[in-house]
Amino acid sequence: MIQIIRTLLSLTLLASPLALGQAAEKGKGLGDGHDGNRTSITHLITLFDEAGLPIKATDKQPRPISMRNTCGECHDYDKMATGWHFHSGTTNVLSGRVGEPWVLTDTRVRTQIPISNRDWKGTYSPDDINMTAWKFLKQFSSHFPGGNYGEMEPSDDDLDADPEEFLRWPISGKYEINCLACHHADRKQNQSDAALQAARENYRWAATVASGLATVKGTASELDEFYDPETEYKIITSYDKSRFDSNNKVFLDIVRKPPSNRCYYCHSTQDLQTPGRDEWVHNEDVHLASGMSCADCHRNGVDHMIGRGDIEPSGNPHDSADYLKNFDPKKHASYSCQGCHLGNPNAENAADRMGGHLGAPIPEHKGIPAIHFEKLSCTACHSGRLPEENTARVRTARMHKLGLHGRHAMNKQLPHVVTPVFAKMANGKIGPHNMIWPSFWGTRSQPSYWGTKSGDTVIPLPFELEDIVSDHLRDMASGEDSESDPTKLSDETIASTLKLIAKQDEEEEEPEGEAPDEAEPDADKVDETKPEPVFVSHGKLYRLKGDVLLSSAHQAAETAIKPLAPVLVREIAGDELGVENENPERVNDWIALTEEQITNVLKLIDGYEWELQSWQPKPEAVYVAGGKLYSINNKVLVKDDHEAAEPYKWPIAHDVRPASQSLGSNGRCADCHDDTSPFIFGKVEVDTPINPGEKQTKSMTEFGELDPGYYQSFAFTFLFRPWLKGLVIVACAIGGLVLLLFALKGMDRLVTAAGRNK
Amino acid sequence: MFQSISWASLTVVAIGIVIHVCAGLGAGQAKSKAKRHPLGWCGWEDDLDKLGKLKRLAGIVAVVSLLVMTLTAFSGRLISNELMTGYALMIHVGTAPIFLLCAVFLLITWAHQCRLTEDERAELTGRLCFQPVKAKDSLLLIKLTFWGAMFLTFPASLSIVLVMFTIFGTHGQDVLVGVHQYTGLGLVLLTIIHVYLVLRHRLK
Repeated sequence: MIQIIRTLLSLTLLASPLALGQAAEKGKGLGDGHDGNRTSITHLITLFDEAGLPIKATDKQPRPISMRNTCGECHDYDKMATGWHFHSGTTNVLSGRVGEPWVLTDTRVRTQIPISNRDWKGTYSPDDINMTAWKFLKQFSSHFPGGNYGEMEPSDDDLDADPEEFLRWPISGKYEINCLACHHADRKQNQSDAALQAARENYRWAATVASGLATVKGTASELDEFYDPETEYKIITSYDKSRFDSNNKVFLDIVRKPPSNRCYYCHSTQDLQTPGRDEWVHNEDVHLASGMSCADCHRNGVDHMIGRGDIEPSGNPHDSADYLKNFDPKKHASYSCQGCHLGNPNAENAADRMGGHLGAPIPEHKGIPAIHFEKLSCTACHSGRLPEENTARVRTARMHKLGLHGRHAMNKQLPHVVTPVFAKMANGKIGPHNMIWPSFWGTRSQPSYWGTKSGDTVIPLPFELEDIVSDHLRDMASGEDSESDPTKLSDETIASTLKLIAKQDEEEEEPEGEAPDEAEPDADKVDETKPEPVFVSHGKLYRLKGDVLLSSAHQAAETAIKPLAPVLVREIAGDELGVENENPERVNDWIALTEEQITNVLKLIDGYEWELQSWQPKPEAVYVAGGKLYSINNKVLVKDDHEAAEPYKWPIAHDVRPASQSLGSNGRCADCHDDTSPFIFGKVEVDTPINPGEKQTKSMTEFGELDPGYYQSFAFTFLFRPWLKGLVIVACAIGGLVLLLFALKGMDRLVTAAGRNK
Repeated sequence: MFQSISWASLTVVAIGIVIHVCAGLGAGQAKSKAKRHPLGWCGWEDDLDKLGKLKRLAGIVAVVSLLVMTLTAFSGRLISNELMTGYALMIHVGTAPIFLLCAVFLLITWAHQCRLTEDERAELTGRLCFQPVKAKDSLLLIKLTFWGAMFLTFPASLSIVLVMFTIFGTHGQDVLVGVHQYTGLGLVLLTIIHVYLVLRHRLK
């Protein structure tokens, strides 16, 4: 026995250094832990370029810093890439609570489209408007943290890749996660410079230039498509040699907790009531004013899944198991408003249960009945702009490209962001939101495609398989009734095509010459649910059960409205929209659009020669603006309410105002319970390029899903509330005196009776 | 908790009344054959003076308004344990001052008549000492429920009015709402017993 233990011990001792050596070799995560010492770690480090070679002060043709190789030397870059800021381009991305989207605007095309890959209702994914990773970067890289779309360079065997983009990626390089954008505390860190490099398509250089370590001469977008970045040096990187020590190491002022100043670059909001020279009148968020920083509440681990304040002790508002895999509510809820100020009753840590993180005061909410906390989020009373009769407009850093200095500064007015809109949130409570009204040209059609269905998800066939299907249908076309709708295939045709797809799938799974190994089945394949061939068309999903064709309603077959890329609209209806008149970049606001123009443009889109397969119906042209969907019916322009035209809104939590400036503080019930209270009866601007001068509004009650009649009546009762208070107090005083009188009389009897007894 | 206590106490009182009614039927009490006023069940008589009529009227209004408040307050609470909101809350709050005014009027006008007599005090003492007492036609319980209901009316009203002032924070408000709920429940139970006993007494 002792011999066995000795052997095992010696094996363990031998294995440990080997394992450690392997970890050190990979370098992953060495810097991600914390040994408990609170001093910040001095980052006197070697810089590495894209090829993994160290950058030296003496290099003749130095290359820009690669964050993947430099920071990744000690930190797990891939793990960080799973964080909120960096993972939006991946498939099956977590949605989380709705947030600020990217917005694609084009003043000439009268377009503002909320873009997100997160499946937030009301947004469209980049794929929906044929926006490739390259185009995404071109559009939004000024305030881009790097990673995801920035690193989606098409592979050599990617047949779908745009040839031009395919050639431009190697010239510009990948836009890796810019770790320094957040963690470099040096005041020289200038994200405006990163934006300028991105505007020049110098993605590879953006982080280096923004850090202040080097300057760059040259513009990738101006270089020939066949420029070879490996051998030619038309983009010159010049490092500040004084930053290198004798070992060619560079000191970077890296901090674990990013300064708020870094967050502000992408997360600033400008109040347009007092912009420009009156900016000085604005206060900061009360938390920051008291000395805190954004990261005090918005914390994260190595995975960079930063707390968004939406995990409250009361539960997970998203009802998503996937969400909870990333967030431990017992920990994260402790840093929500409620967690800090009132405590998190579910926390494992006793101090977290008590609340008061970083000295957060425990609010008393004097005079506010508890029902308010069931119906309203904390932010409803404490955050954002104080509501006025009409909503105001704000600009945000990411949407309006704020913070760009010098010649590339912009003065974008679109999209028009309306605030504060008090609307129902995912958790059922009312909270303040920012909101935009989508505006775009698009198509309405019933989806029609061949695909495969796994679980409830339907995926279209890849192009190569679609070609096979197309050939098969052409062969069968002779048997079809040419008089009928060509997009309506017979059941026989659908069934035979589905069988063909199934056969193709089977062939792909069993390559020729390779007999399936029955002795050792692939464990992964055994568990995998086999995708089922389906046809989506005319509002139904067709599938085979044995030899029988079944059709049923399915979400994938529902009529969908998809926006058209502004570039395509410019191509189709440029003249009608006046695109060619002047430099569109310098037109910053809505250009008025008439209903006649809408009619003409819709006709032009209807007449466009779409590249459609034989089974695909022609889409109908539509225009969405100001909460209405415009289409042509019997040659007449009609407008209807439609889900696709509904405004996109996202909850806001900042700036948090001081308690004394919160709604209802010090017993000011009339802040909300008044018949003119903007919180309930405010007017929400309806933003549209159609007659933009005319003021159109909707009542706030529509967004809060409140009954205006009830709240008018309720507000009316507040007129009598002082009387009610007075009456109850007087009545209680009189009643109390009567009770006291008879209580004393009773006492008299008792005392008298007690006195009689000897 | 409050929901369970409410269910339990209302059920106990209802069962108690049913048993009491059944016991009365079993005893075969003879009904008076004298002709009654249609509103005789509430003590209305033809020879009442103005104040007497006003007292009866105030009693009816108080009971009706308490019934409205009970329905608005307990319907949501008993069924789904939800706090009262919306129109139900408005009706509840709108009825409250009417009830309170009537209650104060009833207290002033009935208090003297509801004093305990020597016999009733003796009966009470006897009952408290578990001694056999002569209870036929006793008004002791009617008077006691009257005083109990009157006593609970004021904490029930004051507690909820204090919520409207900026004196108490969330915890204090919770306590006050609790006081309002439990005193309100007590008031309702005592009123149910009181009204039952009065009706029974009148209809004898």
